[in-house]
Amino acid sequence: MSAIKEYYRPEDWKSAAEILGRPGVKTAPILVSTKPSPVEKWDMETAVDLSRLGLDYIKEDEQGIHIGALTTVQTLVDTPIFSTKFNGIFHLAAKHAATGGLRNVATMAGVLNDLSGSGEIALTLLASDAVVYIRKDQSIRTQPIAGFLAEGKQNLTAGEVLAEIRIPFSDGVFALERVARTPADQEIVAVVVFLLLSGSQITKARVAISGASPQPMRFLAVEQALEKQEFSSSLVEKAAEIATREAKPIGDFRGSAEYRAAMAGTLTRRALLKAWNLKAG
Amino acid sequence: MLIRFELNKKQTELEVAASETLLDALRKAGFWSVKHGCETGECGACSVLMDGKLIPTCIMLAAQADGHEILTTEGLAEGQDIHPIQKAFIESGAIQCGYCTPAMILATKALLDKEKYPSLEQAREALGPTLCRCTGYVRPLEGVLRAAAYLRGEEVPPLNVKPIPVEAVFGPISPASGPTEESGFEPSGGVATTTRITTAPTLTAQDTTVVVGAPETKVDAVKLAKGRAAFTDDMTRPGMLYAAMLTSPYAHARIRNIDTSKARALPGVRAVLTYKDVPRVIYASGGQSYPNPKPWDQVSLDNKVRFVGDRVAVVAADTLEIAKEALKLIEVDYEVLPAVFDPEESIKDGAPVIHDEPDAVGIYDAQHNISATILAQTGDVDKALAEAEIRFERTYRTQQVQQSSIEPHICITYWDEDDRLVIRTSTQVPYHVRRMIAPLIGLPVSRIRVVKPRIGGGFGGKQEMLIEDLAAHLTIATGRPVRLEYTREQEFTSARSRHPFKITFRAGLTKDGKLQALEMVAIEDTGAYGVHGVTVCSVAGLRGLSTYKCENVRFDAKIVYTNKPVPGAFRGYGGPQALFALESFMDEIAHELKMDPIEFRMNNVVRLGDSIPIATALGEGGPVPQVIRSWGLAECIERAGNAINWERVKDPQWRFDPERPNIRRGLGMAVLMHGTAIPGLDMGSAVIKMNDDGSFNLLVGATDIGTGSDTILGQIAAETLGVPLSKVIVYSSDTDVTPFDVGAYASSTTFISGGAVKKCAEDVRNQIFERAALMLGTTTEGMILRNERVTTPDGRSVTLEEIAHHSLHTKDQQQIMATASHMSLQAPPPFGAQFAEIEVDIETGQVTVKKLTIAVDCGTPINPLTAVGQLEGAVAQALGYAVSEEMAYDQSGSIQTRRFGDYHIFSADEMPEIQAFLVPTYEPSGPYGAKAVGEIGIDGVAPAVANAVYHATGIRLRDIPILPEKVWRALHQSR
Ligand code: FES
Ligand code: FES
Repeated sequence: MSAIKEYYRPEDWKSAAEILGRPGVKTAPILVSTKPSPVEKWDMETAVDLSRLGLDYIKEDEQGIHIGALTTVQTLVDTPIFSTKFNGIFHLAAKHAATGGLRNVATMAGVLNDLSGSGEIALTLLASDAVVYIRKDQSIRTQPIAGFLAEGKQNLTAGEVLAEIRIPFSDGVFALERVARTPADQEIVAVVVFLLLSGSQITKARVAISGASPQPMRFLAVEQALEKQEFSSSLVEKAAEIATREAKPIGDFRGSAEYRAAMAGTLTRRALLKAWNLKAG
Repeated sequence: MLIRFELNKKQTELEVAASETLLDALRKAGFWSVKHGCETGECGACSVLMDGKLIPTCIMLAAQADGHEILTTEGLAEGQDIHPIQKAFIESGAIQCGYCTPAMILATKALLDKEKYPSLEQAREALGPTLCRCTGYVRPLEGVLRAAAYLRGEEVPPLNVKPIPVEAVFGPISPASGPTEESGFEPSGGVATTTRITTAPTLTAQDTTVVVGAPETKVDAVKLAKGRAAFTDDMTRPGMLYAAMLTSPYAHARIRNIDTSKARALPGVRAVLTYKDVPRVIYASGGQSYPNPKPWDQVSLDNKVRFVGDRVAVVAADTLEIAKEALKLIEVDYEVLPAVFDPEESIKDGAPVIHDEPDAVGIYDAQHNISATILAQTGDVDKALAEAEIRFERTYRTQQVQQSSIEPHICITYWDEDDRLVIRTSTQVPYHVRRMIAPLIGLPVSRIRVVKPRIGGGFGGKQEMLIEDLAAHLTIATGRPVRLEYTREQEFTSARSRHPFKITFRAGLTKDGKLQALEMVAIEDTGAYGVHGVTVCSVAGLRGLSTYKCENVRFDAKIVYTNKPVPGAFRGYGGPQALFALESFMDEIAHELKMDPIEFRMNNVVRLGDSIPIATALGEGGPVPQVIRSWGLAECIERAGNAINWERVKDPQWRFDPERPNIRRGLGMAVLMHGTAIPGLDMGSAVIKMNDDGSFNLLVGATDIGTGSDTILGQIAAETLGVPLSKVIVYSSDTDVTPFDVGAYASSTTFISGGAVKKCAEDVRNQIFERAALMLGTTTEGMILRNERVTTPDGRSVTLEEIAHHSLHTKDQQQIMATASHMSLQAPPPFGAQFAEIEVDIETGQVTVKKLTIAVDCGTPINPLTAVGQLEGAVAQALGYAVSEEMAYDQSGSIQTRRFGDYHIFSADEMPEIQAFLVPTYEPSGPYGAKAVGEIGIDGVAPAVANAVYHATGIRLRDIPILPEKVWRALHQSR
């Protein structure tokens, strides 16, 4: 049975901070992920609906894209900029995350709160060096996405709310590769790469992989191996090998640990080649 | 708390609890179109439009709806009006069980509000969120496009299905000289002909059937399209209690003690039942004919649990929340026992004994966990194998999959005003439930009434008395109505599934590829209980050994207990397992012999006039000899093969894609042959009575589980009685009102229940003729009943209304009515061909199915629209069986795939193209020439895909599902 005894929908940040910061009451915002647990298993006593705080938006400025934390996953699918920019990976990742109905209720904050069904969205954020904005009443702090995801729920102190995700523009190329049981199934392994190239030299690389470790993460050793190197097929092979070697997957019914590690390499190779070809093309 | 929102364009206030979902709040308020299919937002059945967007309401608090605009299907069109989208769905055959329909209609509205000219791709996207287990999405997608045309104001032509000319169905012959039913199965030209000859009494050769063979819309379609309260749960009773079930966390344990005192003390709890509270009556829960096949190894509540998810206790309380809270307060002292999950381990000496209870009846060898065995043979297999010029042996494995009907198991039990127990339940077998539950609850059959309303999909999962006994025990304990429904998680942990098999085929052949001997050795995993185990296994043997002509055949099988959730009936019932093995095996042999796989099959396949030797030794209800009297296989292969462009199989270059070097393309096929009903066992019956206006009530025990059987049976009655379908009022599946029928299983309804309806209608027609003769002062000689009018050879006529008035009110008053039963010793097999086109990614092993084509000879399709719908839906289920679906367990036997998101059934936005064709033949033993169509479509996708993977890559996968990892491993091994 759901523990929820109270429901609040604060109209402003001050009351949101107050309600969320109340001591002694298990209080949490309503955050639906793309693989939500049943309402009866939601464990907060006070459910806080943040929908009146104006967190459902997509804005663009010269630095990049600002995504309000309560923007639904479907908005990522529908908003043209996510198809046209970043080589379309945000659109694709959002589409893979769930079917349309669930995408209409799952929010970015929900996704970042529970990554179990949205590995590919996490990868796109990791590969693009997104930054999260955390707000409590009028005070705002920022954190790089990688650290935010690594620390998990401990990130937010009482009264704090994930308010926005910023994705910086860059001149690089992105590519997403995945393997799954069926076209719309959750990925077994997915890889998103980002390459910033100067001629054929890789000046910056991001390689983020899901399904090859307990949660989606950047593979720093792969990135290091790529950066400051000339793009070449042997470099790609080396990156793929490192991805397989660095993988610490947990096997399950979708794929064993051995397979996942192998796919981390295979898909890293493919994603790198795809990114290179996109740059060339 | 009070919420205010606009609901179906009306300002609405609802009092809700803070923890209540919007789904629960809407249903409580009587918006029954909003359905429950899961708790995790993944099936879409609960969807509404909120501010124009489709959202699942099970994953939302009701309070969140405050201030928003909500539209449910009830809000689309009021009263008897029909919204164009509803009309389009009805006409296009998009509605089978109808459980997903309201959500699909809303999804369509959301799309069409934005897009006047939607593409097929947009339609697929729009329906993506709503899982449908019945249709394969083909007809719903047509529904979307048709609706768009209606909303644009276009004229939409009726569906393009012509009525079946009597010449085609019955043969161009005069009634006086034509062959009789018994002799009437000669082909009318060539081996591959679709036409069989027999006579049709009272019809002339120039006629066409009017109702039979027409794509009539389903008789229940309007209420389903409108989301009316038609399903078990779409009602409430005063004082109704909510039940919840406690299940075992251990795969094998003895319950030393259960303390329910804290649970009972929780305010609002009205009853807590454990093994201490209900009588220990041994039974088998499969919905099957009397006496249920052994073993009988279950009791309602036991002091031993045999799988994770097994029943432990059941609670009834004022609310579901209280009932679930009470479950947490039940203290169970388990003595955990060693468990066994692999049937081959299970039969070894020293394995844990799963059924050590002394009172189980009919277990073959409890000490070795062998529930039953089967040995059936004809001819001399050993000799034929020994003498064969070529021998082959291969072993295949199939997995456990779940029926996944979108409506979970649900029943409501209550005492009526005469102290009789009413069981309103989502079942395929109301009569079996009534008979089987009686001894468990200590009531005579005469005090039990089972009613089956509309049911949200069954696929075999509801050929079972799964939860009715628990609800009934609670109603008896409390005196109050009780509602018990499974959660989606319980559907995976505690409902039924498909038996996993290990099958070894051995074949002996002549050098030129003629089959001389065929042996099938099977180990079937029946999980913790033996229910359906032996009958599924016998069907597997029948299916595996019937398709190809061979005098020397043997089936040798063990049905083995393990500590896993219990398999039961699932569409195909042993057929899909057997045909995956058989059709892979045939492909392997053909390739080894360097023969064309189709030619090799056709050299060996059974044909018109052949007998089926294994049927003389094996049968679900005992052996009954069978002869093929209708056979359209060759044309099926041609139709489905052409549709997939099979010719490409001969072009080696086609397998490669120059643009995508990691892709290999492949084509594969499988021959299909299924059964129709259980010969000598299945029985259906019908009652027809005539009303004042010349309409008829048709009462049948047959159980429409979304397949359209009410419609088909109505069509058979209407055709025979010369009236449109609208003049036949069909009522089914109510044990107090309708006559007996075994229920919806074994591909029997059209054939058996349809046979009963036809006989019954013929009897009524004779009474009508007699009344007409009385009225016209003539004899019945040469009378014809057509267009609601009886006509004499000299041209005089009376209408049915006049006849009804005369018989009911005027002279020699009489209720024109009849009853008839039908049983058959024939089980005429439908034939078919399944083709698959796939792509294999040779780096990841991912197999993507691009296209599936199927053609089936089901005799006369009584309703081509519903028949094709059966094939499309079955093929979609079979696709999951082939490539992705699997009930997966951890080391402790606990299931890992507990939600749709993990189990994953195919959604509309990822389906390959499906093309289904009907190849009509005339089956002399079936009503209007019909045989079965409900199950055959599920048999062939897995072998066709496996054969296509072989074509694409040269690797042979002998176990399903064909997951990326398996392909990847096999590719690695082959390198
Ligand atoms: S999505 Fe809500 S019931 Fe399944
Ligand atoms: S018609 Fe879609 S679930 Fe039955």
